[in-house]
Amino acid sequence: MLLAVATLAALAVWEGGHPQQTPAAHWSVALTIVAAVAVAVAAGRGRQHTPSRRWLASSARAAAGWRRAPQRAAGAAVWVLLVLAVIGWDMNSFVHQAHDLPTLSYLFGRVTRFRWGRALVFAAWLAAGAGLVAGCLVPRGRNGAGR
Amino acid sequence: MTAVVVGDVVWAVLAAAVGGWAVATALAGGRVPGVGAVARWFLQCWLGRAVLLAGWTEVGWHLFCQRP
Repeated sequence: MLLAVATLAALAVWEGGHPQQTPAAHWSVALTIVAAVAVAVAAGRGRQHTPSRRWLASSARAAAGWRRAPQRAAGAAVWVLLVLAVIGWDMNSFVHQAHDLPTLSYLFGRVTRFRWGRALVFAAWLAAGAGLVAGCLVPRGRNGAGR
Repeated sequence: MTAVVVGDVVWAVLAAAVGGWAVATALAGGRVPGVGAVARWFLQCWLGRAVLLAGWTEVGWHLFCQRP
């Protein structure tokens, strides 16, 4: 675990020194993505909590029966609205291409143009990826789904 | 020094809304789904995990390779 964290931290520091136009930056990001997907498939085989079809069906049932837990439903609706607001405003800014309407990636660019800013944002992206790859896995054979 | 434009203000409001809601849900003691609950809901199965990984891939490629 410690070795994995140290490796990812070293990768982030190294990435910080490679601006986005460089082939090294492209290759390192592409290889990181390929590695993440490969590890997700290898580590997640037989360790998902629920089969996808059952997940979809139970989610649809929960949405349809929102009256049973109105507080939870309202909370989830607020998350959906916030995500839609962020995506919508980003699309609006992108379409208008105006100085007064910076996109989210332009704002991130104000940070990632600096070596340590790029390294820190890359480290945060790696941490998020690690969570998505290894998060919420159950021991093999205990998921009742076998997939 | 970069001048603050209207888009910056909107982003600040959105960031405050997202951050504020994340804190509010964390303080609600599980009565309302927070960031962790939403992530756990997606990560229950392959489909949800794949959706989040696809988003993570797009964000990473865009921020570190494409952003103008």
